[in-house]
Amino acid sequence: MGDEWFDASRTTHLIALVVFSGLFLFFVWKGRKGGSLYIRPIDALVQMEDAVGRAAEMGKPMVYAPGLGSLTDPVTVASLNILSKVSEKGARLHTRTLVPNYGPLTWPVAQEVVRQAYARAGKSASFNPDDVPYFTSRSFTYAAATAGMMQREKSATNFFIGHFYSESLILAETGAASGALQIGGTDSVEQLPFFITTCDKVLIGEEIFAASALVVDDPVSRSVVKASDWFKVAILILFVLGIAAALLEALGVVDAFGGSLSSGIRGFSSGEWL
Amino acid sequence: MKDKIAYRLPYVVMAVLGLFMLVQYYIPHSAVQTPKALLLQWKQPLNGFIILLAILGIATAHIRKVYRQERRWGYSIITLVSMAAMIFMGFVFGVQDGTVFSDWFKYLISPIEATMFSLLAFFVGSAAFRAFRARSVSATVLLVSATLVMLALIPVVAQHIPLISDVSEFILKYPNTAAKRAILIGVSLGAISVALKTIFGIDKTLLEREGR
Repeated sequence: MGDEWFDASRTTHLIALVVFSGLFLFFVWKGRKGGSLYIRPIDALVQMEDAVGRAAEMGKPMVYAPGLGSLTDPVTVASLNILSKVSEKGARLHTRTLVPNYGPLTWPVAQEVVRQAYARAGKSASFNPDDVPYFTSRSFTYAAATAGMMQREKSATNFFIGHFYSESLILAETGAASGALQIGGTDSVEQLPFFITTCDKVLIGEEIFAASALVVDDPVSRSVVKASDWFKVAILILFVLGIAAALLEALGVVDAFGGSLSSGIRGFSSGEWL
Repeated sequence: MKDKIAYRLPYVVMAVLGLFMLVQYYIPHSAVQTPKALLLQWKQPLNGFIILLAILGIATAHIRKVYRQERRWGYSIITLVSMAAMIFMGFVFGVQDGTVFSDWFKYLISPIEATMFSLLAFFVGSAAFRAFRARSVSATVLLVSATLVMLALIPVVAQHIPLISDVSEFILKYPNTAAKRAILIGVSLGAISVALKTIFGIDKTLLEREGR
């Protein structure tokens, strides 16, 4: 703790945040005004509809694992948004959604999300709180309990969307062996290959956030994805500028801006320019 | 009116606390950092309460199963007895090394978890078998690059085929790192989006109530 009112080493972060927030608010405003906001369909999201339908046709339940993240992890929040829509659709088609929980904080929220989904579907009486149990906060014990749930209930569809650790493969491989249709999704780069090899469709990293916004079919949610995309364009432009400047300097073609253009761009991204 | 306030209040609290936590990141002044530290301290009793809630949740669910004699209710008795025994031992004799609680944890729970962990080796084998089939161009690229990286890790191979270590290092250092970073940038932006949606009250799923 100090006596300064501003941490100058974080100026770059602040600029990036202001730019991103500006884009975010602009697209929210545009979305509210009714402007056109096209977003490429996400394969795994399209498949989700079929996955719920498959479970309904087979008369078997679905298992939705929201991962091992806490409620303070944005990916868990995004996952619960998707759960809300999946369980609503399931309720409409008389299909149970089983939600094994890892975090004691996530559990009551997940239970409430599913309860509300049943209410929206007009099936409040069908909601069974035991379908959204809290298992444990030990990762491999959770994996054992969830794998057991998938095998006992013979789930037709499994969703693994959230933050996972090394138990991801135990979950997904058990589901794959039982012949269930599986949709995985994680922000954990190390676990993505496991889901790619064992799940039918995968939400890769940010696609979870995009899916969570797109399942709520309103323009404001779409605008959030749009803002994120345009910010990525800005980052890409910075990348290209940096690479080009570094190449030109390395080749001795140009030495712009009083010494170093590339180090200027690099410095901007790390805050060294201050 | 009361209902309206009760509906709006959580969003106001979320917005105020969210903005405060955002702003405090840029302000090292003690006037901001002291309340931040206090807010973080408040998390501790909250966590304790949540764990109590979870214990009650597990107990209620299993007592209900036993009472109704639902399918596999015998396992629920085992769960309830084990849970009660651990809580009793922990409270009466403590949880430090050498106590019954610690021994049960060390010699019962840890080996069971280690068994689950060891299953990963077999699951990796079966997943790799499925993944390493050259069904498409991208699957073939995966197969070839994975084979090269795996071979490079074998000392005899690395010794006799000198280039293979360089190729493996190149794969891990450039295409692999680039892909990882691309995913991480996307994830970070997505996380910021979720945070902003929460702060501005756009994301209503988690605070949804019947009839709203």
